[in-house]
Amino acid sequence: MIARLRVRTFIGMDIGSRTIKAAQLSFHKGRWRLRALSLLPRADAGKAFGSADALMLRKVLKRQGFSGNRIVVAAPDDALLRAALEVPSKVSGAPIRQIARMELSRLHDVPPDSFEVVHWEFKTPDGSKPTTQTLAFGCPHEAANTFLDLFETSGFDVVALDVRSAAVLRACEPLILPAPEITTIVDLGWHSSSTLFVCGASVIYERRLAEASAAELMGRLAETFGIPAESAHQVINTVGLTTAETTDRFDQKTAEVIRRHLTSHVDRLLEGLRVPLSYASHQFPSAGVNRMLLIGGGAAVPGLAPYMQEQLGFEVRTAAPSDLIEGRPELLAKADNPSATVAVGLARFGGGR
Amino acid sequence: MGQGNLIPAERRVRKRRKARRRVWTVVCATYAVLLAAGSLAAHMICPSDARSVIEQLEGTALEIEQSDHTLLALRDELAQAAATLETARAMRQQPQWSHLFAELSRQLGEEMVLSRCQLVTSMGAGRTAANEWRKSLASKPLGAFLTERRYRLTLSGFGKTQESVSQFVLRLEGVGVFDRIRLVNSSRQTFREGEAVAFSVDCHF
Repeated sequence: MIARLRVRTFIGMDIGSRTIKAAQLSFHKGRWRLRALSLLPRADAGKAFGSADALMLRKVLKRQGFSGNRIVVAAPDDALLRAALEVPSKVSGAPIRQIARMELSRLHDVPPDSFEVVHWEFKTPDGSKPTTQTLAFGCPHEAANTFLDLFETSGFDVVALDVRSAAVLRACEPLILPAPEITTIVDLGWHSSSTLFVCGASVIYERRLAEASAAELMGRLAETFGIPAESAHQVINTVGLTTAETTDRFDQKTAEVIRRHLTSHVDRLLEGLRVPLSYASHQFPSAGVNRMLLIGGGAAVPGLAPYMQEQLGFEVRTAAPSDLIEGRPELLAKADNPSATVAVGLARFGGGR
Repeated sequence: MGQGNLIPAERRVRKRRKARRRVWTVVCATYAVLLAAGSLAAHMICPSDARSVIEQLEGTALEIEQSDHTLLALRDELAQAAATLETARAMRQQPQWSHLFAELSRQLGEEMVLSRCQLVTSMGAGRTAANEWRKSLASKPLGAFLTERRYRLTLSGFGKTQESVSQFVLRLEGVGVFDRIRLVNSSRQTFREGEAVAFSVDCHF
């Protein structure tokens, strides 16, 4: 029993607006293995995460095969301070972390000692530039403490407060192209989407996509067909963008209408992606973006990846936990959902122990 | 890079301290329990040990008490032995009176005859030892008493002539026993059918 506990990672917990995703892995002989995975719908979908949610989680996780109470959570996205900086190269001995802290303080007009900092440095492969492109994130203490208290008063032991982008990067590591090639990861959430540009082990650029949120599409479908948004979500995940004959649950005409809404939605998303993609191509002309990974609840739409690949002209694929790690068949069936990818990345925090 | 923890540093420190305190509490409690269990086990396994220690203590106390009694008895014996030794020493220092009187008779010669011979023990300043005996022995050891005493030998008799008396006194001084010799008186007196010189001599030593 003790040995079993020892090899298990922390519980990675991705708090979404509609569902909470939790994952726990084990690491043995250099391979990650999924030990427990859970997607829990929230009682108060869309509302801020509260102590009631944390208490519910505490009760449910035990039943779902998770062990321990040590968790890693992503810092609330709206609380994070962000900055893309050009700082002197580390070779010069410049205190990059302090510079990043001071820049974040200056840009967001907050005291420099009131937040914690995480940053990525990205050096051009040829080392031609005397500066390093740095992506820095700060999390104000006040927001962090409020968020952490919710978990700790419910009996969780929060070992780390991670940046969501870092968790995404860790989770998708097996599918990320080696440097200097650039991989972009698109996180299609319910209310918002974002894209990350990754080169090797560094996040080099991050951008939020205001266009085409899943909530908006579901709202439109719910209005058109007079069904709840939750049902619209299930319909979308069944019909998808595949050109093959739809299941006999929908007639052809309905399926066409749904597909038209979906196509329009994805086209707007693609439109939104063109700006960051052209920026990346401009910024890193030698390598370019050669692969796109889709994660998040919106990435589960059937046929989405092939459609986007056709439109963008480079490889696009979904990155669900089942594509990234091994696991028992019954768990992998549950893990074939790209919305749980971030939870897997969080569980891998600090090498998983 | 990018592997960072956004939990406030102060909170992390507080948490680490709490965890360390918890660990030490467990360690101390475990140690105390193990110590108690070990002590209990030892007590149960070897109960005679504790008892034997108590018995040993009692035995030792008894031995100490007996030794005290023996010591007191030995002290008494020692005191008696010391007194005996002192008496023996004192007795050893007593003059051999027979030798003195033998010497006296030798010094008398043919012309001297003694009518009286008195030996008086004194304590100095004219005090006789007979009067001081009780008081002196009660206040000082016998050895000291014996060392302190002095003797006075009073010789009275008749000499044939005044010269023979003087010669007798000179001879007495020549013996070397006496510290001081004083001719107290000498006078011509009738002795039997003739005349002789009566004398009296005090010999102090």
